[in-house]
Amino acid sequence: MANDEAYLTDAFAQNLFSRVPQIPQTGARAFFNREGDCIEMLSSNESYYAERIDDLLTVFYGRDSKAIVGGVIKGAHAFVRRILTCSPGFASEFSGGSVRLEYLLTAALWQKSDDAVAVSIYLRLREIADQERLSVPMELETV
Amino acid sequence: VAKGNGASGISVAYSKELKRRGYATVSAIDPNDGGHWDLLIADSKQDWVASQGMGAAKELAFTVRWSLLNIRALYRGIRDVDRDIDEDAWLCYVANPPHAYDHRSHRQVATWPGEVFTVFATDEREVYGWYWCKCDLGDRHIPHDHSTRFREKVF
Repeated sequence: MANDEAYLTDAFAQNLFSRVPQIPQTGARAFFNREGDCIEMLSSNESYYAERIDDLLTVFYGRDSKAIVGGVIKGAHAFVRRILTCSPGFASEFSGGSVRLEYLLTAALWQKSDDAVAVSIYLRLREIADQERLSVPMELETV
Repeated sequence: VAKGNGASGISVAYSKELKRRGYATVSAIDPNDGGHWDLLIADSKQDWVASQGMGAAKELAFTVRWSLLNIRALYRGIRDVDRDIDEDAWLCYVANPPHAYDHRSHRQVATWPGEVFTVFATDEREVYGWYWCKCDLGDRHIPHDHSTRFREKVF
């Protein structure tokens, strides 16, 4: 395809655009991406750019606000397995086929001690997750 | 049926075309020969993107798909230290799209200096994520942390 017009009018685009709600979500929300085994989190509908913080987290900064507006937690199952190895009681945080994002971020935060900037980013994301009580579907049996 | 090297370096047969229930098919550069092959995007991922509004949807419809076919670089193998997941054959497509889409206004906007667009796909050929990120200081066509993030540069 050579131009925007073709990309924005073909069957893929039409199908995708038909899924766009009349009023897009603007509050904080999370999505468990099974294909990538990652958890995506957004708290704004503004455009953003990404910055990789560490092996686990990539953070999103809003183009307009310059604030942290979300991020991606990668390798979610591997991360939970690692946590369970040293803290088996973490399994109790899984209920009804889901886990609170705040708890995952807390577990990640407790593994960080040497990077003040990274810690502040984890804290901010945890705050967002906590405020909105975000959770993601994750069965302990699949971890 | 085509032949290419799997993650282990052993030649394997694969199909250029790909379809799966619950996924949409998109065309991309094939890391094996530089031609085209199909990748998949899950319906659930499309729903997540659509829920963010028309700007994010246009980014997927145009920016992501354009980038998969107009690469500046293609990396294989997500290199993460201390991880027990096998991402040796995962792919990162890197591009400099001609413009971007603002998520709020849905309008076409100029791209941002010093940034590249990256699209990630699994070894199962599923596109699972994408974003704008800083480019390398010496080469505006590749991500700034390419040397520590990826196992090999395919193109």
